[in-house]
Amino acid sequence: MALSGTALHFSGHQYLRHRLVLSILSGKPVKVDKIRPEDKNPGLRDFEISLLRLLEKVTNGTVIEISYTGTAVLLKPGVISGGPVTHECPLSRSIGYFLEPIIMLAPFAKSPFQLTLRGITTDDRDLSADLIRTVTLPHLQLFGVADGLELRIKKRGSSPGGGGEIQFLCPVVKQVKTLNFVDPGKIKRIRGIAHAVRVSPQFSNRMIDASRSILNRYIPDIYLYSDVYKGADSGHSPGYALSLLAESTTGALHCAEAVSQPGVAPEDIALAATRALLEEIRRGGCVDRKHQSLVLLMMVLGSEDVGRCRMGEPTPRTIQFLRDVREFFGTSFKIVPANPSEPTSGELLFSCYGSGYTNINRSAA
Amino acid sequence: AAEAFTSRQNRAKDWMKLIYASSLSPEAILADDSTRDSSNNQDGEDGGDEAFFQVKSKAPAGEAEEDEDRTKERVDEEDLRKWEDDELLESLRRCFITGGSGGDEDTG
Repeated sequence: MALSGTALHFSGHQYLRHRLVLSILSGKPVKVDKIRPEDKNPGLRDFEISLLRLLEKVTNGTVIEISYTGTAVLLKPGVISGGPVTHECPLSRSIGYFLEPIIMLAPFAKSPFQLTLRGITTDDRDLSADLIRTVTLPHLQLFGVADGLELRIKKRGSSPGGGGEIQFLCPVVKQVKTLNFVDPGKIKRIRGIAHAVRVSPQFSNRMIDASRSILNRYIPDIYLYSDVYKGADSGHSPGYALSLLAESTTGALHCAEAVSQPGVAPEDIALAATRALLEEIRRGGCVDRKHQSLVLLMMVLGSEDVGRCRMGEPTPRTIQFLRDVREFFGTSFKIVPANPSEPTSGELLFSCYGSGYTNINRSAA
Repeated sequence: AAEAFTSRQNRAKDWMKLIYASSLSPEAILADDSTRDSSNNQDGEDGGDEAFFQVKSKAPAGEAEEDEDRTKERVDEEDLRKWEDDELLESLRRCFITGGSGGDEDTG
């Protein structure tokens, strides 16, 4: 644990997002160096610069220093101010890249977030606007962030042209609730959104049919919605994607999606999304792989009580996140097999003592 | 059977130690795990699926490839191909409400 005042030090461009988030939440400065030093185009990428600018916009008093070569960055966090903010995301990454860290910060802002982001709404690297709306936001509700939490997809924008627009509204809380989520339940329904922009609307129906051909064997409660945006709302480039989510009797959500690629039939995209969903379901737990970090973070920030959550195996990102959380907050998780009688299942029980984090920004308002 | 039990105990990963007390990279921790997974399933609960779980999903995800700060895991087309198999599809049925509460129910 570093002394207060001295910055925590990390190397490399990987995991930059969650380190910046942890820095802002904990109030500890962070220094990241050796950002692509060997690359022929060294230093921060445009999307990383853009993320830093966005963080600057949603906070007050944050100091960001980027070295001359761009291979090192120092962030001295200010308070999270929130409020109405508009940001143009570069077309090198989707809106999800920028929105995911914001979602981790938003409940602790001074005033409720009304964030407008423009850019690509769906790509194959980060969560699409659809998944954030249908899966990520319900995860926040587990922690008592609920009233007024909303994501509106005003326009869709596919890669590479973009042109999409979303609006994210998030209430502020004083403190997040302690999570106790250990029963994954059984899957009771599957929902999905097939969207198509600037291509034949028939494509979304073809994706739905292909996905149903696999899923129909499991349960009858499957509703796949065909979402076609037209005209100015459909962005600058053609594209389509299928987002799927499975909801269990206890509210556990597993999700997957696949995005159109040149030369691949819609049916194959749908099969990839469907099989990825089955893969998530097989991994078990109450939280899927894409949301492990978010849930673990909120558990750390919970009230001073023991929070518990059952998950599948951690991803590499999650493992690094757990290590970084300990650097910033001094909190480590207890991780034991969820089912001691059956150590092969791979499911793990994560528990930690909440740090009792309170939203000081809000009480100062 | 007792022997199998102890060896399984040994194989069960100490996640806390690996994450907090070792300097292994996250990828290395998981790569070690994929071997454990495949061997485990031979005596695991899943009955007939062993052959398919031996596809080592994590093995090819090299350090150089995992170079980006991305949320969605890279989709491995080859890995997803295993879902063409009917038995594997059937094995998931227990996760659904329609799957009944058969003997290998594992909601503990």
